[in-house]
Amino acid sequence: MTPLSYHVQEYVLLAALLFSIGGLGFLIRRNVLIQLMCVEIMLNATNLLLVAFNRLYPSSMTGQVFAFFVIAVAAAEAAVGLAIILGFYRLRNSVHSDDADILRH
Amino acid sequence: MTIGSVYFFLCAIACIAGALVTVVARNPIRGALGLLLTIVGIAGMYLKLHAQFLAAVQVIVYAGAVVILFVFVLMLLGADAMERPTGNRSPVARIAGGIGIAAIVLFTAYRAIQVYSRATNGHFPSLSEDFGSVKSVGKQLYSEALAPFELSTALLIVSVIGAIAVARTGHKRTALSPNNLTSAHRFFGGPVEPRDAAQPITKDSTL
Amino acid sequence: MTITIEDLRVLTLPLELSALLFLVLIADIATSSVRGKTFTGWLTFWGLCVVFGLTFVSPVAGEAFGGRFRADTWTLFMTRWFIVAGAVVTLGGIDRIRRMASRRQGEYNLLLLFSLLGMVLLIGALDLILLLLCFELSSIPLFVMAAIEKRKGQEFKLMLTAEGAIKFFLVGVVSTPIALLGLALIMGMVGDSSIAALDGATTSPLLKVGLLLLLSGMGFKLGVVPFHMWVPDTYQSAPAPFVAFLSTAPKVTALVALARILVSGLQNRSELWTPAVTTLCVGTLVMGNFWALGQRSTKRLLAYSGIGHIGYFMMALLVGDNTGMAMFLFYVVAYLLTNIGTFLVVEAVCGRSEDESIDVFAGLSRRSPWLAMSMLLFLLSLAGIPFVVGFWAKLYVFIAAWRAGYSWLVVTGALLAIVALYYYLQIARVMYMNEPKVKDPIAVKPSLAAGVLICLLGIVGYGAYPRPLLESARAAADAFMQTRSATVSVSLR
Repeated sequence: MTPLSYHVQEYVLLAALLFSIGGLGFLIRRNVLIQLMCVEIMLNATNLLLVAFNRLYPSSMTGQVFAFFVIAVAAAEAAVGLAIILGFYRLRNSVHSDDADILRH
Repeated sequence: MTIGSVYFFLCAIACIAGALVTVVARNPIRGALGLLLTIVGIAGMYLKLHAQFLAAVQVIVYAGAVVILFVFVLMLLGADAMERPTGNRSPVARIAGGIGIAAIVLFTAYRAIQVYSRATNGHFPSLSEDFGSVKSVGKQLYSEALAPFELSTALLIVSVIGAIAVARTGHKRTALSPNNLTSAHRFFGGPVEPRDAAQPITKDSTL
Repeated sequence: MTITIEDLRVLTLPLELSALLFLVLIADIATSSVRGKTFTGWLTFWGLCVVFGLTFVSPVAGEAFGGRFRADTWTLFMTRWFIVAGAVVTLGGIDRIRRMASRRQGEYNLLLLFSLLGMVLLIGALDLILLLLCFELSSIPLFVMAAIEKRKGQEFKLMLTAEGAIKFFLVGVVSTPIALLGLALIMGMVGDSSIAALDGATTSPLLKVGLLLLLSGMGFKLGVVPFHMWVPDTYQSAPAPFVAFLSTAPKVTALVALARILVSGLQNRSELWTPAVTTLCVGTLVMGNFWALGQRSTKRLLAYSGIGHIGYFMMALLVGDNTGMAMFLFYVVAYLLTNIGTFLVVEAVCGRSEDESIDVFAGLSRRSPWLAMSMLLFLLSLAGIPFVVGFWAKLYVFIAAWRAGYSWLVVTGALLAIVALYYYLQIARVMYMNEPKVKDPIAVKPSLAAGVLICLLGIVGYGAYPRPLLESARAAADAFMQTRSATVSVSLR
């Protein structure tokens, strides 16, 4: 057994990097599908953080159970979101959030 | 450098490379594949964190369902899902906002690292044998987390009902035009549907 | 920990709601005609009435799932008002839903019930995991309901609906990971997911950042000011009976979730969150009310006024003690009744013509005097004029905030209430002073009229005699503030 010299810091840093990349992508990209993928990356980053913190408190599995439910939520949101995007596409023939610009005052 | 750290860096590189590919990809299919890479990298991280059950769920649900759903929709939209060559407006404000968010999150991470280095020395405590195993996670899922577990089924029903209600186009069906019919006829070399067999199709027949 | 039948007994009310849900599902599958689908709407309404009646029969108190869910006076109070909101919205919306989604009425009603189920479970949740799932269950159906409208021959209107839905969805979906990152950081400092454990969190900048992220994630859902951009667009494009629901119950749900974490979980650590909430509160009050001033669309105006109202809610949360929560609850009831009523009147006046500019209200007093009078009363209640319920709600919040030392906030709130009065009375002026373009009275469906009437009776009744509501709100707030008591009781009021 190798001594586990790994610390939670590495995981926090990785999760933060992933979350920022996802958030950056959500803001920069105008393709709704890509924006939804970026949200999935952000959710994955938070999951990683939850599991890493769970490793710090090994008396219960709360963090892992939480991450499990977040995966379920993400799947549900993706299914609903893709349906809404399809509905938008049928009307506007576009998947770009720049085209969602009629409503403005 | 131990095997463990090599593994960690491989997974970390996979995660970050996948995320970057998703963010910069012009072709959304490439974006979906980047997402897949990130997901597999995260699953590897879960294994390293002794979350075997979660790693399996991650691969099955994310890679097996969510990414497939994305790819399916991308195939449905075809070329329309591609990024447009030029945007309408300048993305300067968005990039500035994005960099702001990235700065905040990375600063948080920096503080987190400081705090954990001080508080727990950041080292992971030693674990019992079945930490993260299917048995222990399943036990918690069906006892303490039973209510959220049942709710997650409700959530999935909602997403199924919702997706059908939004994406269904009603009962409109595109009628076969005579042109299509003859080409289908030519392609199959015979009647297209069994009920057509009673009425043989000629070149000028209109149904 | 074992689950016994006692645990299920505590969940009686949510289980009754689930039973209704299955009935509606079966009715939806069993029918195929448009008339049959409309029946699911009536089934939803009468079923909710029955569940409401059942809340008065032997309510249960106790804890389930090892203290992760609790039923007490607080849950009883909130459940009743959520059910009332759901029932009135269903009743008022039956006709509109039949017209806009004739084949999808069953789905619409089902999703409404799912959303209500999430809300009813959320108010009793004492665990962050349960809280998150209930919150998602209450908000994911809304994305679908906003996008469900499908009618032939109205392509432009449909484009607006799809656009409002996609904006709503994108904002809603990106707020989830932000709030979650906050929750993950908080859990990292606590090591447990129960609300009661929050008090023992290690004080560190990380906890503050976590709370800030949580606040901004929830801020998107609430539509407080820096995160509000989707609110007017979605309200303008969605059908009014749905907006009547969207603008009330989900906002209250998000506020309750925030209150559960901040006011009840961190009640001894209020210095951690009060600065951020104060900033949001002031920004929301000021900007919401000023943006409402220039609006020509009724729904956009009401959207911005709704944003302003969130500011008053946050003022009540800032007080952070039993009195503050009681006043918060009183404001919740006043806001639910008034806002649902207002949007139902908007539906009655603008629903047919699809034109919701303020000019449509011109001369309403001569066309349909009853409709004009009820709209006037709702507007007065929104503005906080004696003696409708909105007046008491604002007054009580101001008194609680003043006693807690937020006198400057009270002055700001009162000044902005005057600004709000100006734009509310603008609608009233158009209704009573301007010449109508069309002379004939507006035909209002009986179901819609009944919905408006229920809200009207509520605001006038509680406006004339607020004491019973105030007392039950106090009892509910006292129950809410106990985070780890062993004795759970329920008072039947």
